[in-house]
Amino acid sequence: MKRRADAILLLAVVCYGAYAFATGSSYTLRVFSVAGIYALMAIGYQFIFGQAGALALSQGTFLGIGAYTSGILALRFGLPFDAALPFSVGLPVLLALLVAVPVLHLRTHYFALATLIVGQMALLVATEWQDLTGGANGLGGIDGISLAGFLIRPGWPLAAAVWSAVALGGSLAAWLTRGRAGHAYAVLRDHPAAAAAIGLDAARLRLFAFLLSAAFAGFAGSIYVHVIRVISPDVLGFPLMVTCLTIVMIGGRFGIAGAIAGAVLVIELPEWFRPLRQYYLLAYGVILLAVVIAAPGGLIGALRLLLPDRRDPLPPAAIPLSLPAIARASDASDALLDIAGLSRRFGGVRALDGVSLTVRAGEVLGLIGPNGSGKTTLLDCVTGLAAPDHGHIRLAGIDITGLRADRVAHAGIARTFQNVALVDAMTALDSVAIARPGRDLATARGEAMTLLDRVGAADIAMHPCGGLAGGSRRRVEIARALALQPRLLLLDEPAAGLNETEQADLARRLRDLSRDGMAMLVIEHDMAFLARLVDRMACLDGGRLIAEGSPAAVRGDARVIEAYLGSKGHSSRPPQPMGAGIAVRRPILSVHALEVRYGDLVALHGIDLDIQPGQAVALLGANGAGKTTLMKAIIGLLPPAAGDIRFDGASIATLSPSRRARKGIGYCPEGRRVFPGLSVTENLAVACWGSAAQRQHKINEMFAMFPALAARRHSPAWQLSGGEQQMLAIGRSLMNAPRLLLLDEPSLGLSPRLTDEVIDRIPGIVATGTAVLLAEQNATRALGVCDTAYVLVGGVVTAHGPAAELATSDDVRAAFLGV
Amino acid sequence: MKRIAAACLLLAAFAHEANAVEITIPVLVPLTGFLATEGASQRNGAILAMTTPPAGVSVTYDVSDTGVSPEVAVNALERAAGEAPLAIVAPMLGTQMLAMLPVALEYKTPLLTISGTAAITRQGNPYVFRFFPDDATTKTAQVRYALESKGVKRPAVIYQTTAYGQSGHAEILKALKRAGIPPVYEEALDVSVKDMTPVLAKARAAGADALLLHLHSGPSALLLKAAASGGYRLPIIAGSGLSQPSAVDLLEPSELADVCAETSSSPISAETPAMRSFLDAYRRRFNADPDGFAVAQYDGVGMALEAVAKGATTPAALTQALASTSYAGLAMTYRSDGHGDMAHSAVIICYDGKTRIPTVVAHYTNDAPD
Amino acid sequence: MFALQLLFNAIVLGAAYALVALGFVLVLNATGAVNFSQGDLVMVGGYAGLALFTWYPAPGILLLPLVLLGMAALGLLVALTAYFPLRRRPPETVFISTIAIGIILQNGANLLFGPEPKRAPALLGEGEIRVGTLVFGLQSIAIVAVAAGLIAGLHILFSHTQFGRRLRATAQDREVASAIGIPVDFMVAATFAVGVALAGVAGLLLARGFFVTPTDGANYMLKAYVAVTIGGWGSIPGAVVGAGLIALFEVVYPALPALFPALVPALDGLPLFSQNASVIVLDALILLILVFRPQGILGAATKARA
Repeated sequence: MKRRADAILLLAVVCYGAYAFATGSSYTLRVFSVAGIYALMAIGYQFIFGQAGALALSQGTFLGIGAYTSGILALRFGLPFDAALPFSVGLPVLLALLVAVPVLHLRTHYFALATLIVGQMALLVATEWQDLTGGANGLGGIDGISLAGFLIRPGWPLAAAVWSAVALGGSLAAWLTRGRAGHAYAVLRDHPAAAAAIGLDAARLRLFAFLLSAAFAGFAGSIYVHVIRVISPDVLGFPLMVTCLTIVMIGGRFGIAGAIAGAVLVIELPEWFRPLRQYYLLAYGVILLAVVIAAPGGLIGALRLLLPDRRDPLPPAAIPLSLPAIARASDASDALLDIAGLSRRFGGVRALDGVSLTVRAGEVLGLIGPNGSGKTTLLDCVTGLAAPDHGHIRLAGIDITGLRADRVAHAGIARTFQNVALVDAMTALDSVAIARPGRDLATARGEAMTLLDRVGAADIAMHPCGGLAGGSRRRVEIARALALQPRLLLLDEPAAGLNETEQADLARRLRDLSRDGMAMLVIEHDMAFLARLVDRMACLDGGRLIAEGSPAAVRGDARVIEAYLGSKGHSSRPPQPMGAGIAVRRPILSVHALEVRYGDLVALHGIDLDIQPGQAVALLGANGAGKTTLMKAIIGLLPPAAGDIRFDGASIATLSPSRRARKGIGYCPEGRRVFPGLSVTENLAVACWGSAAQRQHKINEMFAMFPALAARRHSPAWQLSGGEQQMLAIGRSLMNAPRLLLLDEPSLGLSPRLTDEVIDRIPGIVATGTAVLLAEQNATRALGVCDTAYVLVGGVVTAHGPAAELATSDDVRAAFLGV
Repeated sequence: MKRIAAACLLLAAFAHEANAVEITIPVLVPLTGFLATEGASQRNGAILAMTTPPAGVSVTYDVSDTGVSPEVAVNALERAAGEAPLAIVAPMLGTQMLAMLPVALEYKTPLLTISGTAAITRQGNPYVFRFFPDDATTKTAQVRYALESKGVKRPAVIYQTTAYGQSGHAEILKALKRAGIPPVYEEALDVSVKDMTPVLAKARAAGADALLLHLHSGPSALLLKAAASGGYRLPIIAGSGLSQPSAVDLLEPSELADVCAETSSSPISAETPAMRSFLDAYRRRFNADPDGFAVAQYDGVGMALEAVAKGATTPAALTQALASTSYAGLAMTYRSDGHGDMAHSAVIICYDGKTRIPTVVAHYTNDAPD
Repeated sequence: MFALQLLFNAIVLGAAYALVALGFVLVLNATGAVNFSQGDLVMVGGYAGLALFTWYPAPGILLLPLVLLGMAALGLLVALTAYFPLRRRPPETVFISTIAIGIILQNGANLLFGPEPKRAPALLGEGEIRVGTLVFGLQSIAIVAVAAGLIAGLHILFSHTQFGRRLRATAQDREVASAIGIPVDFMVAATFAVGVALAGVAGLLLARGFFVTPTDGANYMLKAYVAVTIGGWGSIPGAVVGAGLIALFEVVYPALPALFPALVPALDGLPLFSQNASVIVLDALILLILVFRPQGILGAATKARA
């Protein structure tokens, strides 16, 4: 890939350098030399700040330590610049190692502060240890740069020497970050979980970046001290660090061209502004602010927008790669993956409760279950992204429970993710190649071609992942998983977002893989897809395994049907068909040809939906069908790509969520999402936009409707149980007397009894004149309290009509469990 | 006839103009950062001198900020020196001066500075001229006054962690050692320290009978305030930081009772008529009070300009003149000791607790041979 | 007696630092962004008081609401320039934009007011209350009173007004807050206004007894950052606790040898309680907290979900 923007920047710097040399002015050359030193520091900083994405505030400290080391060795022991290099580069690296061990794993701001504090301590030591460092006055009279005994004169020889060092350092940095290494860091930054899942050791990568940045800083510092020929504590001060950060923010976090151009600009700018006298720093601050606001990716980012990289159009030749064939038939009874008694709690929720499951060699196991039943948690535990509280996981007899994710990947388990974890800027080919450990780039790419071919994505090999359609992205991710040559492939909802044809094709290819001996565990909701693929099926509900066996048996299992569609309920009140005789007036909500996208993925295709005032409408569909997307689009948290939404006759498609809420739409989000730090009363209060008297009246109303809440009115919301939080969320959404209430999956994670309690409130709410749109997986219960229903499959309405009719039709069953 | 007369007059005027020497002296001082106050004094003193030159000399100047870091100062020097000026007014920050010395050597341009850091005249560089008494001179004055005139026997030394503070501290200790009186307490303060109670309490607990300070202007004022309000009736002999008008203005006169300070000169005390007119001229032009730094820089530039008026119109000639002649300035008579130290005396000023204007109570001249 | 004086001094400084840290943590909670100009805004508050007084010598107590309002307006400006345009960018971008704002403020102050230390007018006048050997300066009392008042006011705002409750809601879940009718952009801007107003008031209060110079900002910024980290990242009471701890280290720790004279011979010349040593000990403590309890002292899991 030719990076044209980088080339332009480098060319600009070279031109400026040529100009500097041509003028022969020792001032111009000196400033240019100093710019070179900062360029080296910034190139180093790009490792930790850019590649590893960690906000380290230590770069100035490392430069200072390198400077002090070289300076002190020169003055006390007469060591010239080149002889002192092993120490002036080595000491910062050593300090980086010491600092990294306890703090490198900390999250952004903690890590930043820890490095800042270390820098402050270094500054204090340098100022106070006067015998060694000369204290605040520092030490002067240090010789210039000498190489192999030859002293390099100031002026053009010095500038040439410094910039040769920059060229050297820059080339080294470019070599280290090109290809696989750069890609590894990109995956680490954007998708840390996926990075571990393809076998990358995040801690080691981060440490390496940190040490490299320290080495570059130390090198820059040792040059600095022999150019300025004085060492003083201000080289360890925070302003130097700010300059470094500024250079990288302006120049760009990636790419040496940006670091070099940024350094030249940042160092030269105050000099160019000298005629502004005392206003020059003010001007500098204003320009910095302007650049940060206008150019998010720095100079290089802006330039790359204007001059996009030229893409290498030719994919490499495919190099064959074999996937391990497991012996079939006779030892098919051997369990490849053996999960025994797996349990995991999140706070009060039992995500997994004693799950035992096996995947035999060469078989495909489908794992189904309603939303929140623990499927992804199971996958996370197996692949090492989460640690189970109890239970064991064995792979081919070896205990891998609690093993770190990257080690699990090396052990032979590969996975894909619910949200495809690909780096937008990387090509499909490189995304797969990064998972080929220990190969040189060419071989890895060749093997990646084979894999892409295998999944039917060979034609898009050279496309950046960001521009690919949903189906292609899934295939690329699968190819990447295969690149690990796993014995077991775990797929998390691979069919989500694919159309019929794509699904069929994917199922076929996975079937082929299975025939070649690959064992697979596939989580999916789409029954049609699974039917073509799996040998066996298992169903989870509420963290427990409730059915296991052949696909037909599981789908017909009464417990499974109940888990998905819900029971008839145990409430004493029989379901009332509500408002059956309401004349059709102007709908309170009218959705017309609504289309919603997540990037390139179309989540809703041309949805038409009407809700009459005072009507209860059910929105049914499996997980991933688009119910929550539709809800969010109605309340305004997602923008429509096409179509219109009208509330009470007026279009609201351009209004902000808060405006829509105050117009009279209440919103109870999926997963409850009460304000954890606010008390129950406060949660209710913030949602009411009437007078204080009205608010109190409403609060009392809510407490009457939900007595359990009244008992806990002063408790902070995070202490409430799941059911109580659901009540609170509903109450909150009613506080403003909405004419339309959006209820998104209120039964999620609730026991059947609590589900009944919650759903039973709906008739009461409707009776007050509030229309309700209820999105539910628990179709039976939903149909019991609603007038009409819409069935959503893959972002499209496949059926709608009166609830009573749909309750007996096959459309609903088909939506959840396949034909 | 009239036209010829007019032409002759014009010619005469031009001829006179042609006799005026035009020189350039760039002014490189810290105008931003923590030494900006002192840098402003330097700038003002230099400008006043350059705008009232001796007859036949006309000076152009360019003011440039050196900030706080050495490399910015060196850049500024390279830029200024590249224009081949006659001399350069250099910043009083020691670390910047040290970095600038090699460049001055290369360009053979004399630097006129008031930096107190001892090391700058110990590098064997013939182009540095310091118009402020070095720390050894001022601190010796401070210590001698305390011990001899105030009879201090158990001094506490409180100094700043900066370059200024550390080098002053070293000289105070040397002077005390020469007198055979060790300090009963020493403490270094960062410029950001706000509450002076702990350090005062510890000094008192150590049995100090006087405080020898070497702090910047703000911290000096803070400490005096804390001492006054905490009821510490100890004599205080402070460093030049206190003599700056900006420090004194922060204090009430009562807080200055029994407080003395060392400095190179006290223009605000207006001891001589020449100092008086300097004070008035400075006030008129800059709407502020001058301090010893301004006077020293004024004198330094004045000495250079006088040498120019006497014919030293090249950097080499000026360097020679500065190194070998003496100059009667406002604060004292300046003469090089062979290393570039031009100023060899310091004064002690004391406040009476009723006004903010001190009186000069003692002069100390450093006659010690090198 | 002396210990009481030290304690009072520590409370005074701690109260001022608490205002700065509070302003910092409020913006942090509401936006997830670090406002690196908070320290420089403290400095601006001091100069604002000075400027207002120079323009019209009103009694000091009147300056307080004027500075409060003026700094609130400045806070809106900071939000508009350094935050809102960068909302969707990675958080480091706001780091840099606020650093740039700090540079502008610092150099602007240097140009407008000059580099010498200056004093802002006193709030309650000069003078002090003496009780035995204890000295309670009127300005120090004013600092504690104003800080306590503002903190109490904030508490009332947050727990007893709709506006305050909605500010908290926005900080805890911006998406849902928006969906229940809260104008979140307005809330964020208001939070900036409050945060910067607090910094400005702290600056006005401190600038009498401790002077104000353009370079003061870095020191206050570091203290706020440290206070919030020790106290608990994102915790409002934590910010106050952290600020108090810093003040204790600044005032009480170095005075321990004077409080407990027996320490002096035991130390045998080791400068364990010098001003510099107190900085090193505090730094070491911060590192220990970061490594072993990164959520800080009060940063308990208040966001735990059932």
